[in-house]
Amino acid sequence: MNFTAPAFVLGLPLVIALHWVMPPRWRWVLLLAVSLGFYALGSAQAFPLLMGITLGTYAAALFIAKSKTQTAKRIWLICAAVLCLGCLGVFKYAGLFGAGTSLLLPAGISFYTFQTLGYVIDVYRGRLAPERHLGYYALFVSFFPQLVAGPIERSIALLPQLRDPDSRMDASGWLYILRGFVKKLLLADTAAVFVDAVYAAPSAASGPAALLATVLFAWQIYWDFSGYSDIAVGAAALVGVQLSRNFDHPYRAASLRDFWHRWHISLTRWFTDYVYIPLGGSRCGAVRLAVNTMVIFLLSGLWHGAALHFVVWGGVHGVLLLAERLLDRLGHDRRPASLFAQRAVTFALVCAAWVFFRAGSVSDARMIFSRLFTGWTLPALHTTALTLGVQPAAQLVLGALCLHLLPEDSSDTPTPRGVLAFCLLTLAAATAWFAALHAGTANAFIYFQF
Amino acid sequence: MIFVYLLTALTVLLALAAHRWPVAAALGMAAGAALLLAALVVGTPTRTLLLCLLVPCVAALWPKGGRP
Repeated sequence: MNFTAPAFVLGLPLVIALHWVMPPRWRWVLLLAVSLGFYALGSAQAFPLLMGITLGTYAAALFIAKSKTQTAKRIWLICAAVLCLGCLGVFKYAGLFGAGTSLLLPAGISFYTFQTLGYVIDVYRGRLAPERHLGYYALFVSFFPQLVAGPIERSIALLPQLRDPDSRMDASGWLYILRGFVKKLLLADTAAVFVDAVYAAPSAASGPAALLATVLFAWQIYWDFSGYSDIAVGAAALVGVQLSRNFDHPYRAASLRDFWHRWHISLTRWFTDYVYIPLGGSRCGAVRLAVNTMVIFLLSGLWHGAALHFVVWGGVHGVLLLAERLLDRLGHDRRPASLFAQRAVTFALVCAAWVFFRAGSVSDARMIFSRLFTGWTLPALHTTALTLGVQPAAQLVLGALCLHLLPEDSSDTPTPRGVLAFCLLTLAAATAWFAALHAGTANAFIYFQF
Repeated sequence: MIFVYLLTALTVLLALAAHRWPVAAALGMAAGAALLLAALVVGTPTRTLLLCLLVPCVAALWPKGGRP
């Protein structure tokens, strides 16, 4: 279910109202029905798969808790891992191994398989008692704000909140939702027009166009994905559930390590907890550390899609991160003096890696890189500016400025001018939403495809 | 169209005035709603309307620290 779909935008206030009207002990029934309904509306064909993984991991966790020997526990864990990763492999990566099948990718499979697998591992490690109530567990898996594109929640954090009868609405959810819609409708979708035009024909792009499209894509994917996450966090807050933050101003990172602490935090944490640390983490020799880092980033690339350019994107990040660690270990004072310069260098490296992510193939990415250094003429600059357009550029600048000026949350007392800004921004987002619906140009969120 | 721009200018002024006088914020909301209605009646292009709404929004939020 796309968050910009009318069913979600118009249905959410109704769900929130019903949720708080119902007796606390029955609220989970409403949330589960809505979650499954939203998922079925968006991808009915994938519904049995979601149910199968829910039942399979629910049973595996119960069997792990019942098993008396470590071997038996491990067997059930392996069964759950085979179920989750097997489904992910079949539906997402069958084409990569030349299976010749073109299966429809079920919405959110990369997210809910990781979330359920994380739950079973937590039960196996004894960090969590298994959830015996199938309804609460099904809600944990299918909770509608985060089912399709995360954040990938830890069972320890989410399950108790779903059971809590004393949960309270967090009104700052409305502010998160507004931020999300502004990011998606006013910024990401506006940037997408120029980015898509350049990346559709990389061989025809001039240097300025290739550079601008690459920088704009870095912002587009941030606005798109963090916009989705903001709406998810906001919608959950309005039904009394606090989801984890998925982004923390990633382009303010002063190093790549810092960037990965700020970008898609829930996925980074999942890989760290369930893959990186079991492999030995960073408390091992240099060679092992390099292998562990590369494994994590190559897997992260592969997680994003069954294509070589995603793996290369992960690999580039792995190599750059290792180079950063190496320079740190050698004691080189490689970092520029000012924080601004550190951030600029990190942003440039991240943008370079994004080229592999956005390009349709590795050869397209190479084409973009080669075009970056050609055609730096005044007419090319003029054409690039004309292609982007004055109004979209002004919209991007003003929209980004509004986001920067908006408070992070509404914990303080509202001021009259803040309320006025909230109303005007709501009108702007609503206008953009109606216009996109009317023109049929509403884009799905980028991470929905993963 | 000139009416839409005049309403935009009025909303910007009210947004700036809202920093000092709370009543200006209420008037700004009314002006913003009137701006939207006028733009719909006149048939203002969507991008122009969005800019007309974003400019007073920035005026209301600037400098950083305004709390909705």
